Amino acid sequence: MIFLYLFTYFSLFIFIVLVVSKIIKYSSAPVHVRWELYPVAHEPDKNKYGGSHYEEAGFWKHKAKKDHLAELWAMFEEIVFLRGVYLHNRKLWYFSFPFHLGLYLISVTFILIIISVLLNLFSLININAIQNTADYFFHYLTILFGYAGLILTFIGSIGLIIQRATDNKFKFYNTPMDFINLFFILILVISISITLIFSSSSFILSKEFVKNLITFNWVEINDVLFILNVILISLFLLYFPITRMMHLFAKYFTYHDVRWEDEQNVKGSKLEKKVKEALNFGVSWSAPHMKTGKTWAEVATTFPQEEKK
Amino acid sequence: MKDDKIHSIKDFTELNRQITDLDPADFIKLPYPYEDWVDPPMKELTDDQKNRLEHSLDGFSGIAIPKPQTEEEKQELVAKFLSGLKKLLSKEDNWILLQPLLLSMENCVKCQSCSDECPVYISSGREEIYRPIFRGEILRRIINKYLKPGGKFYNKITGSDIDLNWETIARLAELSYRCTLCRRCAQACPIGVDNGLISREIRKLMSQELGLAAEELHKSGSMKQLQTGSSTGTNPTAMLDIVEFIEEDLKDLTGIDIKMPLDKKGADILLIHNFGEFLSWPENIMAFAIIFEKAGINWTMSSEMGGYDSVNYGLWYDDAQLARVALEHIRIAKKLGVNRIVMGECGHAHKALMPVADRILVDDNIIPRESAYPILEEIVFSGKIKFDPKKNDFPVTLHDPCNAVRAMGIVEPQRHILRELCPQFVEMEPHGVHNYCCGGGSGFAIMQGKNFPDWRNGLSFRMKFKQILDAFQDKIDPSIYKYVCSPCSNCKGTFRDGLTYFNAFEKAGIIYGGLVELIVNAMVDLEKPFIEWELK
Repeated sequence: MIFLYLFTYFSLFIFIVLVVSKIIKYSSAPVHVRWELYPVAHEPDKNKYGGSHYEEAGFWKHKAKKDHLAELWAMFEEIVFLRGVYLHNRKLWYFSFPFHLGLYLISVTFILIIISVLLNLFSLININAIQNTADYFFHYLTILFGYAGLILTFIGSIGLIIQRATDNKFKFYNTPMDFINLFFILILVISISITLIFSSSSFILSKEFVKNLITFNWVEINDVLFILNVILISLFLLYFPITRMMHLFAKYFTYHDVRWEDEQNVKGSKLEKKVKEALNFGVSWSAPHMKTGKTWAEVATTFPQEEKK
Repeated sequence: MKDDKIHSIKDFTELNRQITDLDPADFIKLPYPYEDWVDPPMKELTDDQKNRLEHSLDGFSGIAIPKPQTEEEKQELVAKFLSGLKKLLSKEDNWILLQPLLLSMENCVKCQSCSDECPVYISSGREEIYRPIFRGEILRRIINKYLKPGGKFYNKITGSDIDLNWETIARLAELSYRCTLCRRCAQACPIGVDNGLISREIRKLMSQELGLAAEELHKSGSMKQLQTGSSTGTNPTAMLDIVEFIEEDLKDLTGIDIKMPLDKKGADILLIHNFGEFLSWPENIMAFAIIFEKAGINWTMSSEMGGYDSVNYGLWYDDAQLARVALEHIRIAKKLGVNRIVMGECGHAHKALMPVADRILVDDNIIPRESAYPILEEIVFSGKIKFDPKKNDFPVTLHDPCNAVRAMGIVEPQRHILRELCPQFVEMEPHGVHNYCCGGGSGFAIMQGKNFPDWRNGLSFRMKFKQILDAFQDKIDPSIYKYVCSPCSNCKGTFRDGLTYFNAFEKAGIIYGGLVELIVNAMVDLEKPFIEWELK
């Protein structure tokens, strides 16, 4: 039984390490040239039609204003409703939307389970019985989110598997991993659902297991279906970070660091300092006009003389 | 032929024949009066060109890649490609676009939301190799197999069990020149993957490591610009002569006598045009001069090397060339002591010197750079010049240059002017930041070698031409003259060749021109119309 607990700790640890590494990799990348794409969500008023501060003569005389609320709303629409897929790929959206929404709800269910356990540890709520309003709230909210999440993810993953397997535009590019990802999630959903039906319809086993994990109280678990669930979820945590499912985290950077990143470079700014650092990186490109061995600052100010007429 | 098309990614790397053979009969159909239009046969490469040049992608040669003569030469090029690929993914060699590239390479889930946004892919009749994700998927699988740990099993489940050979590299290089870098696909991607950027970065690898680039962009483009002062090869002496000719023509045409301000120190504005305007569309230079002079703007142009041609082809294929040209523009502005640089009607020049070069400039090189569009808007609505919109009482539609609009968000000023001065202004659909590329973006407008113009005119221009015809559909009779306003030199180059290819003036009465020409045409002071109704 200790193995089950250790394996869960190990999977969680690896998952966190790999996700954090990826986030560090993206966030610590050097400054890059502006490569935004309009509409930029935080452009006040102009975001409605895709306009920018460049529409104003003398824009550089003042600091650009940002509508952070509009940016948050755009992210919310994109993350929750998959607005881009809805607008540009409606056929896929019919399954992709329930699939993603289901996964969000399952993730919220996990969070609710952890919160319930933490509140229980401080004797604020019960996790085995409903004795007050708070117990009632957490108990039924977890069930509501959990069941809704499982049903939506089930429908979504079946639909996505069928679309991937039958639509020519997907078939050409399909790899085994594309199906492994979807089947893995489908199996997880089925496995959790079976456990809920036959063993623990209100996530009580899950809450007890999480409590055991947090308190390092590695007690025996006798439910085979639940053990299978824990192993499958742990394997999924190990598998997730090596797949393109990591777009869950990458999406923040594609929007905030690239698509909507429009900060102006001004003298004496932190941004200018970063540009100066980058200009001192060495160049090893080897085409004749590239001046291998010099810094970018030197390359940019040296004309390729040998190719002169 | 359709049944010759490829059926898997592996075919791209393994087939010993041309990957696809385009048939214009598959291209999208055009509306009236082009329902029965039959494209002329697309020009094939000559036997000599076929022997010398790689052409196994689609039979077209955009960048004239010489065929290696020996197996050793091929292996050397493959090794060089892999070495370049490593540099493309390294912080030092590619800080300029590393983060966006990594995000795009590692997170595409192949949802295909981008596919139907690509005008080339749709216009071709959905030719698989032109699908926006195709290039990226090839590159991704090469990276997985050759640069990442993982082994055979990982390669198998990620579809990365492909072999890298010279033919694949050559096809990929040509394929990166079948994307106009319009980034409409990126705009549609829910994750934020940018397949246009991937095409641009493949071009960069080819240029910066293998020395492969379209001749019009590199040798006869950015290199010539750094050597002579202009990508057209016009040196400062010739530039001065051309300005003189334009001043004389301006006087003959309008009776207005303007001495173009050149190298005026301390001017407010240094106006830099795409030099193509001086040679192909001098009326654009004249119109700017008339408007700026009448509005009392304190402006100048430069006649010094580095200061009179705003083009910066490096934007499309090479970071070093991009930076060198941008710094030349800045050098001239500093020397003249102007307050700001203003970009004339050239979309890619806008993007190169304004947002992109913003992260190349430091210290005193950080000089304000602005677009001409909002300045023209200010002038038109300032009351300094009197206009009579009736002078522009003909159908006008507006083309949005991708680089100035989708990539920079300059959407309203130009249409604000047109709504004021052109009573019959009509929008294309879609427009603004959702526009379609003219088909000449990323250098295609100037790539005139081998049989590439046929590909551009017949295929990549097609969606834009369809948009134009749709916009003018209720006035399509050729006796009604119509104007496509294109405030971008490269786009105008595409319109010139594309509209000629489709015989659009004779069949539908369509011409093209810039924004300033329409402004001047509406000026009360001018006795004769400024716009001439002919396809130039």
